[in-house]
Amino acid sequence: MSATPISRYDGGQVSSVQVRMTSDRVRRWEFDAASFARRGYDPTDVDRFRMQVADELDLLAAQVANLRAENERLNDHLELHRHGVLPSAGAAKLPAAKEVNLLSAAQREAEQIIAQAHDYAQRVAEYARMQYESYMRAAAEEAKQEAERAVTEYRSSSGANFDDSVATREALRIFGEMMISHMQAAARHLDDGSAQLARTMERIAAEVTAGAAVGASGAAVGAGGAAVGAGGAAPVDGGRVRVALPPRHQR
Amino acid sequence: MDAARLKQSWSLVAAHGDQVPLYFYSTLFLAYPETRQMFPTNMAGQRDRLVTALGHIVSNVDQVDSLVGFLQDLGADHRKFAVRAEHYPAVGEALVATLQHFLGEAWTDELAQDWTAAYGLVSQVMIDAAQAAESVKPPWWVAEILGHERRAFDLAVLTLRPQYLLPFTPGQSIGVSHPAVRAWRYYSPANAPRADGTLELHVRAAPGGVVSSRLVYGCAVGDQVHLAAPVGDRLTLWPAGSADLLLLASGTGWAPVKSLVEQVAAEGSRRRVDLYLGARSRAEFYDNDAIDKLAASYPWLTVTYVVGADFQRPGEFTHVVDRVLADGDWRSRHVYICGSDEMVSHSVGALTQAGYHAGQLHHEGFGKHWYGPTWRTAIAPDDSGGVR
Repeated sequence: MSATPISRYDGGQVSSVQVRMTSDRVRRWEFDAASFARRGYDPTDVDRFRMQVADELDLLAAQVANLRAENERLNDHLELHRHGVLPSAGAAKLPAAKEVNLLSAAQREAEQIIAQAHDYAQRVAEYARMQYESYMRAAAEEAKQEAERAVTEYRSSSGANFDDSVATREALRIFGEMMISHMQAAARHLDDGSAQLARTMERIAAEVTAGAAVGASGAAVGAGGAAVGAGGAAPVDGGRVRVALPPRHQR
Repeated sequence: MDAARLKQSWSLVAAHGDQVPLYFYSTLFLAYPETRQMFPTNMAGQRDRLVTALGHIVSNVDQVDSLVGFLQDLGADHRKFAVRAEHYPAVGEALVATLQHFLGEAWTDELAQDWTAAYGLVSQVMIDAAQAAESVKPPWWVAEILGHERRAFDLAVLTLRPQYLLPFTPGQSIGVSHPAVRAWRYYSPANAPRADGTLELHVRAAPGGVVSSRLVYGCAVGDQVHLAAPVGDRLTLWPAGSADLLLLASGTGWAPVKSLVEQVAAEGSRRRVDLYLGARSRAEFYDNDAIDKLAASYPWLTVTYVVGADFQRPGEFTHVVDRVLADGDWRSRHVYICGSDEMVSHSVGALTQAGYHAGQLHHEGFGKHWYGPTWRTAIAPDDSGGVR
């Protein structure tokens, strides 16, 4: 963190240059490699890149739509001029109640879909949390029992040569191994869960684009992004005990 | 302007509930389509805020003086949505059209004049306030992300550097928005003001939350976010004088409390501070390194971690406040509480029952409505320059 003091706002114009995804940035973009045991690019990096590209596409689509509307307006003006009619000075015409109600209905429907996605994301997050906690509880319980059993065995087999520090080391080792194997099983379950989430997300996204929703796709992308995050694997802390692990969920 | 007539017509209209602001916004967007992109996709919360603000304005329209402060804050705050003076007449038109639609037969020329005059007054105050604010602070601050640490799968600690100094008082919240998402959320800086102006934010991704998810999962070092002026004074230190402090925090409620601790350290005052920090489980304490460092550096600070649920005692949940009350009598201290609405209301209830009085308990209001009539910033003798 630099120690140079920050300057105060001086009343000048605020330059709001938005950082846009350009073709140049796409070509120059470098993805980090995925973790040691996985092939390909780091998924978090890829997701972030996709979000930025999607933003840019939305922006461009909106611009194109505006240009098309402006084009139409100018053409209409031109037509009127050709027929010798002078178009009015351009005070905005207030819409009729029918049009207003149509837009209102579309807005409501978009909000329903957003609320549905929001609700689903919350349930998934809560479910994932409960699963995680119950796994941890069960894992800790079993690991403790295993460790105690190992110490008892060691005690009976070593007789007079019973060494406290050896017993402790053994207990810790067994406890650690059991915890890790439980967490791996949990991580496999979560992988299945996140595959399911991805399928659900696609279904919701299809409903959104098919419907008459006004700009709801942006919200569904946002809600979908959160849902993917909620389904991610719980971090596995294998640091204490050195055990050879199959490389599935190393962070 | 006939205030009584105005109030009466508004109560007739307000009886139609959410239909009214829905009609208003649809009218505005159809008549002036370029305004749609100034609002987020999901307008439900926005409609509530509009109705609350309008209701408050109308019910006080005959005592304009009491409204002026509120309207000035509102007008200056609207700059962060890129609202300019020329947008106000469009809004006035849509408002009048909406009232006319819902009043039907009851709509008269006199009413039209009343409402147009009232709106003219309100908008002028807001426009003037926005104009005055222009030389004092930017409409929003662009900030670069200098640090992005995922401390848990759904939680990140962000370090931001705004382009200009963003003055704030520890305990306040600042607006945060991602350029691709047109919604603003409020987060408390977790640090006391620094010379280099950097800010530390603790963000938990709310399931389905557009801004928080974006900040946690969709941002990295080098990205830009937008920040807005600080609000809120319920968690600032000045009402506590020089008293000793008892701090209760859970989850990301730790952020404003951390900035209070840093402020006490910077003041060099001789307060005793006892911090009780809660989390659902041991794994959910996300700022241990920083907390342990604070506890080690400052002998006047005592830290107690309170684990909500322990695997050894399934089914039991320990609240932070239970531990606090069990540990002693803190009634000589000022108490600051920050966390989820449930945690705060439970804590306030328990403390009140134990004999703590309201003046010594400090917490933010529930279900924040940033345009509610009670939303004002501290009018403290504070010349940190620009703290509203």
